[in-house]
Amino acid sequence: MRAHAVGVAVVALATTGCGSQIGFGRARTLEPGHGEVSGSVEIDTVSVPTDQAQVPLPWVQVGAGYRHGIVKNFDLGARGWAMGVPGHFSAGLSLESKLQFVRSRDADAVTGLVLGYQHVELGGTPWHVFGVGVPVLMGINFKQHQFVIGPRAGYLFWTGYGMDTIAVPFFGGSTGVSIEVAKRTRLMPEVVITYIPISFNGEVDQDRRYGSYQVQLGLSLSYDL
Amino acid sequence: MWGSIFRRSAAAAIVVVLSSCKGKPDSTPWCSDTAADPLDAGAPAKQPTYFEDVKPLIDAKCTRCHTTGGLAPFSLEKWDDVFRRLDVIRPAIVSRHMPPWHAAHCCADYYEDWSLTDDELRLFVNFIDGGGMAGDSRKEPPPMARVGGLSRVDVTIQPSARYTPAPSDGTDELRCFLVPWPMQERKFITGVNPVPGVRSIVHHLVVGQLSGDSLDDARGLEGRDGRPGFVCEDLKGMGFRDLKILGGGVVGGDMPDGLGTPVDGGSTILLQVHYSLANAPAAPDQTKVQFRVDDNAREFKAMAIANLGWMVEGGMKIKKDDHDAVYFYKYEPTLFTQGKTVLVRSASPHMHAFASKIVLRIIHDNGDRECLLEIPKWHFGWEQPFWFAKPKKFEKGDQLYIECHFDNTSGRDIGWGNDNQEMCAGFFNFTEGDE
Repeated sequence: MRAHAVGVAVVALATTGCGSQIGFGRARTLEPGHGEVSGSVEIDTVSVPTDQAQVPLPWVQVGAGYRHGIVKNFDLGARGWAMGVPGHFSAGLSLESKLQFVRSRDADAVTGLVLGYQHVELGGTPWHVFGVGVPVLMGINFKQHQFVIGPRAGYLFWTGYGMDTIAVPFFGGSTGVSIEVAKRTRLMPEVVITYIPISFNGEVDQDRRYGSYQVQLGLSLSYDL
Repeated sequence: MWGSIFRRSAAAAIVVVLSSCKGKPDSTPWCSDTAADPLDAGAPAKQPTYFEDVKPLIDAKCTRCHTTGGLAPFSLEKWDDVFRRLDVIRPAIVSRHMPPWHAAHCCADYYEDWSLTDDELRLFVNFIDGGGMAGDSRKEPPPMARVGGLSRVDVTIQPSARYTPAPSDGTDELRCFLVPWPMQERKFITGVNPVPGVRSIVHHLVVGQLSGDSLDDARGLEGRDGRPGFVCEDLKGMGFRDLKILGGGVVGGDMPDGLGTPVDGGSTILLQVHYSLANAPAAPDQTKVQFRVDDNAREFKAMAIANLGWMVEGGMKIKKDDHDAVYFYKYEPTLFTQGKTVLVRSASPHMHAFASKIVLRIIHDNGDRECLLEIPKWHFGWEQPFWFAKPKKFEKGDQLYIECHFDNTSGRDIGWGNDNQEMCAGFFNFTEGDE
C-alpha cells in the first residue's frame, strides 16, 4: 500500500499543476529598481477523487524566489520549488508578473500573469505540467502589515511519455497576512485552496470521479534588497 | 462568447503543441512481426494420424477444458469428437486462438506453456489437411503429461449462490462475493485456477484475502441490493487497502519453483468477477476458484506498470475509428523493488475488448531490451499470468516498458475505464535477490 500511496501522491503532484502557489506575496508591487528575495516552506494536502485518497495526503515543499521592480506599478519575479524522495521528485518554476491597479494607504490590488512548469518524475520517466494562471491579490493595510485575499484561475496542461495531453482549468483563492517583522523583512503565513475539475476514470464509482482539491499551508519570508 | 472561443482555441492549440511530448514507442521490433510462419515448412514426410500423432497432443493440451462437462463448449476426448470438428479446429489453432495461450513463443519461455509448439501446430494442421486419418489405435504412444492447470486441487471456493449480472450502466459489472476460506491454519497457495461458470460473460476475476475495515464494510454491503454479493465499487477503495491478492485472470495453474503466497486460516476471500455483456447475454453464473495449497512456499511480491495519467480523463483518448492507437510507458518501479535486484517471475497483461496487441519488456540500464511478454493478437476474455520458465533479472536502473495497441471499432471515442472503455496495464510477480 506504500507504493499505492506514493503513486497517488505523484498523481496529486501532477494535478496541482503550477505546484506551489505560496510566495506570490502581498498586493503591492516593488518600486522600480528594487529587488526582493524570498524563501518559503509549505505543507500541501490533496484530495484526489478516488476512494483511496480521501484521507488527506500531506507533503512538504520548499521554495525560493526573486522579484524585481521594473517600472512603477509593475514588477517581475521568478520562483522555484521542489520536493522529493529517493528516485522520485517534483520540482517547478514559475515566472510571475505583477501589475498594480489600486494603490492607496488603506488598500492595494494587483493582478498578473503566472506561467508555471512542474516536472514530476516517477522512476525515470517525467511528466510535464504547464500552467498559466491569473491571480488577483487584494490587500487591506493596517500599520505596516497587509491582509491579503487572492482569487485566481488558470489552465493546466499535463503531458508526458506515451500519454495524451490533458487540459483542465483550475480555480482557487488564497488568504494570508504579510507581517513586517523587521525593517525590510516580511513574514507571510497564508493558505491557498485550489480546485481542479479533473475527472478520474477506471474503477471508481461515477459519482466520485470529479474534482481534486489542494490545500497549501505556507510560510514565506521575504527580504527587500 | 468570443472569449470562450478564444480560451478553448488557445487551450486546443497548446494541447496540439504539447502532443509531441507523447514521444514515440520503443523502436525495438516485435519479435512476432518477423517470426517465421510454421506452416511454411511444407508437407510432412509421413502423414500424421489421430491415434499415433494427434491424440497425445490433444490429451496434453486440450482436454483439460475440452472434456465432458468441462469449461469448453464441447469435448475433444474421442476420435468422433475431433473428426467432426476439424473445420472448427483448424482456424482456431492456426490463429493461435486455441489452445488459449496467446504469448508469442519468440519472446520468452514460459512455465507450463500449453500452447502448441510450431512443430506441433504443423503436425496438427497436416493431420487436418490430410483428411483427418484415424490411424491405428494400437500404435497410440504413451500419454504425454497434461500441461497447465493445477497438479492437484486442495481447495475449491465459490459464491454461495448463482448470480446473473445486471449492470446499472453499460455492459460491464464488477461483482464482489465474500467466501470463507475453509482452512483453519496458515497455508501457502501454490496454484490458482479460476473456473468461470458462464465463460462467455466472465472477462476475468481477481481473488484475494480481505481483512480489516474493508472486510467489515464488505459484510455490510453483501446482499444490500437483494442479490448475491455486492457492487465492488460500493466498497471503499474497492477494498484494495485491505486486500492481499492471491490470483486472478481466467485460466491458471501451478506456480513454479516452489513459489506461493500465504493465506491466513479462517480468513475471508473476496472474489471479484468482471462480467462483460458486450458479447453475450446475461446468464446465471457461479464462478469457482480452485487452489493448490502447501504448508510452505517461497513468497513473492507484486508490482505493476501503467501510466497514472491515462486514468485521468483525456490522458488516454482512443479516437473513434482509430485502428491502431498506441499507448506506451516506461518507468523504474523502485516503489516496489526499493531499487534492489529482483527476479521477475511472471507477467500478466490487462486490456479490454478493443485492444489488439501488447508487449511488456525490460529496458535494461545499459539500453538492452529483454522481451517479457508479447501478445500479437489480443483475445478479450483470455487473461492469465505467464510464469517464466527462467526468471528475469531486474536490477537497479532497469525500467519496465508497456506498449498497448487498440483498434477502436466502437463508433465513439473511448478512454480508460470499465463499461466498454479500455485499459493498458501489466502486473508482475517477483522475488527479491537474484537467486
